[in-house]
Amino acid sequence: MVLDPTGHADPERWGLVPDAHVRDFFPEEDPVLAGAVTAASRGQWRQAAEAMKATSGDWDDRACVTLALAREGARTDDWLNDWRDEQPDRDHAVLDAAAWVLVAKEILGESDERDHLSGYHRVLRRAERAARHAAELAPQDPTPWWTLVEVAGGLSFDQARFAEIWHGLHSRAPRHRAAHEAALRYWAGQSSDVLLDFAANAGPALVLRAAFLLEDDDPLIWRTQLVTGAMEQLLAEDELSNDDRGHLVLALYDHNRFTEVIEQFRALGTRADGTPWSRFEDPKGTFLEYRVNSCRKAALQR
Amino acid sequence: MRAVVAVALLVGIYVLGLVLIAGIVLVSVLFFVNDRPIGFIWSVVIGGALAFALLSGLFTLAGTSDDDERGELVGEQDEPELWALVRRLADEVGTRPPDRVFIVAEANAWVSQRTRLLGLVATTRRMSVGAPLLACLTERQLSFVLAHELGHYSNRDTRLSGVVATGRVALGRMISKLHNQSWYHVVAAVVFDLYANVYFAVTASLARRQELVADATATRIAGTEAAVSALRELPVVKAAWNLFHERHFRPAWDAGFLPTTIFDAFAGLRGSPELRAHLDEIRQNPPEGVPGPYDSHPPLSERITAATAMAVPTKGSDRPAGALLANNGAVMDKTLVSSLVEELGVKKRVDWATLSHNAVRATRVDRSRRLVRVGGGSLGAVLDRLDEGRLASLLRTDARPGSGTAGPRVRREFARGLLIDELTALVELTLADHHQARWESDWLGLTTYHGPDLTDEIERATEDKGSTEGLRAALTGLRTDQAPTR
Repeated sequence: MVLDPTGHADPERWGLVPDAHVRDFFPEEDPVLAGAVTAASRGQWRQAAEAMKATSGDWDDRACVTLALAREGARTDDWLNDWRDEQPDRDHAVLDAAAWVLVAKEILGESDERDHLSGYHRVLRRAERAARHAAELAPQDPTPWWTLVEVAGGLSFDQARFAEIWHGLHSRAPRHRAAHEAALRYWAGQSSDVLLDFAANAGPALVLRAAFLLEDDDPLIWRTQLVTGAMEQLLAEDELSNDDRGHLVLALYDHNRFTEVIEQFRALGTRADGTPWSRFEDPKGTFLEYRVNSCRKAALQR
Repeated sequence: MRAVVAVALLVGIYVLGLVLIAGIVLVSVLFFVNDRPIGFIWSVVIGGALAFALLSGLFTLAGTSDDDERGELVGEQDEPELWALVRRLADEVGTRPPDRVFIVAEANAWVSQRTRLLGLVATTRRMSVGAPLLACLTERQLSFVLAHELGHYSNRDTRLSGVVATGRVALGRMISKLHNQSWYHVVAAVVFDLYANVYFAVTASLARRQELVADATATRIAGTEAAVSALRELPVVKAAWNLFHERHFRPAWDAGFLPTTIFDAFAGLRGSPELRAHLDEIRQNPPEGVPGPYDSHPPLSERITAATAMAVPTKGSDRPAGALLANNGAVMDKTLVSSLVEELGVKKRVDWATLSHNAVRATRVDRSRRLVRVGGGSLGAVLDRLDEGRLASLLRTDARPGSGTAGPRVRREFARGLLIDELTALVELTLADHHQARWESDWLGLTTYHGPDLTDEIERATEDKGSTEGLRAALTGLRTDQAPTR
């Protein structure tokens, strides 16, 4: 415990929002999507179908909408079943596959029990069938291939099988962000060397995510040339997503660059949602802990 | 000097016990004299229980131990060669031979004595030889192990060290015995525990040195090669035996069966290809293990180094130790079965292939039991319920997904997976009982199912709007109206 009589550790002194305002859950901001999710939770599928239809072409946007609706689909699936019965279209197939993956992940959670693992694997195999079906119905769409990349990670496909899937994704959307992040998780289960090569080719934001996946096994990973370089590259960019900033926090913190960490926190404001925070057991608590520690240590550095 | 202190401590435990009992009596008397009837009754009840526990602890220490009564007692006329070896070793070690020899079903060997009078006087000496050692070691290696155990009683270094060792064993036995009984015994055990810790601390280095001395004695008798290889082989024998006993013998036993051969099968396990890598790994890198609180053995590496340094030429025969036994070692099988002879009528003797099939079958019966219960008593009834669209009534409602979510879909899908496991077990059982499928286990305990693969049919039958048609077709001609039993 460091004594801090002048209260420099108080985040508000650094222009940060008070602890009490930080939250790790925010409702969907896009009103159309928010409306579709709410309707789905009440068993109505048509708004979801509209929302999915509107995304065709912008694949990153389609990934976001698919994920948001699939979350609801993993909770209750009456609306998905009605949708399939009344209008079995490609949008339904894409969403259905994505929802199966989320069901599988919830069955496993953080458990390592045999029943949970075998349930996880069984439902992932179901997800694979659904995704293959969707890929047939929507031959241009990379979204089912992203789902297959998720499945490949969960079922630890061999590299030849993964190559086939990755080719399917890459030929349709070479810079599909969500699929790249899923591919990181696949490679994390295979080989840390290939993981880092893959991330280095995919850009600085992915390198930081790879470092986060590897830090448990290799605590020095943040100080490597590759990760340090990626960190500097990201800092030089004009526009960063909240998730990018979250990972920058971890990188800068490890480099003891606390004033820059505080800048990232200033930009993040109240938002402790998204990665990397969601990967911790207590997302908001972890966010606040990094914040207060950065303030305290920045004060000591001055 | 330490030995003298240790013996004094051993006597002291009686003083401690008696003082405590006197204290308890005094408290009761004071309550009585001062006219406090409630306090008197309480102190008599609680104090009486504690005094009883203390006394029974002291008697355990002084009296005989029944925990070495297990195993198969072999007389000199039953196993003349084994007895001859034991006598020769005792003679070379310079101690009297055991009065009784037992063959036990453990991967271990030890010599113990009945103790009397403060645990200070030893009477009957008994030697226990593990049947797994007889099955796995050479005669030379076994000689080393037995000579080591006898060496603890050679009394060559200190007149009192034998007493110290006996005291350690007796104390450990007393405390573990007290701990396994009622609360007042446990209270007494805690008191003795504290005292024993002092005793063990005082005697730790002495005991450690005794181990090394016993090793040296045994190495002089059996030779360095036998000493080193026996020390390396013991953990391997232990691992193989645990595997055999826990994964093969016990499950079969629990399922109500007895193998026709036990130690022949154990030999098969040790030689099996699927286990070779596992056992070689233990042989090369012996586990150091976590020493128990009363264990005084120095680390294995230290013992091996010491034995190597002695460089005693090899002595004795290198034939399998099992050859010492009469009747091809029939006595070894008896160690597992004899003490439970009364059950023999109930257990069915079968060969290992049948046995492993039966053991797996029993697990499948267990796995399908819940489904049979909620599903109407048989596979046929379960399939009827599925066709009636009553899938939900068959799902477990108490199963929690790994994320702990309350989301109905995740809970349902998780429960569906469990139902598929149960239904698969039930279908496999039906096929197996009609001789259309069987299970096989290798020595590692991995089970393989040989029979029609109905994964897709079962999955189809358990879907929300599924159909049992395919499954029923695959089971055509089989009786599905019975509840399988073990």
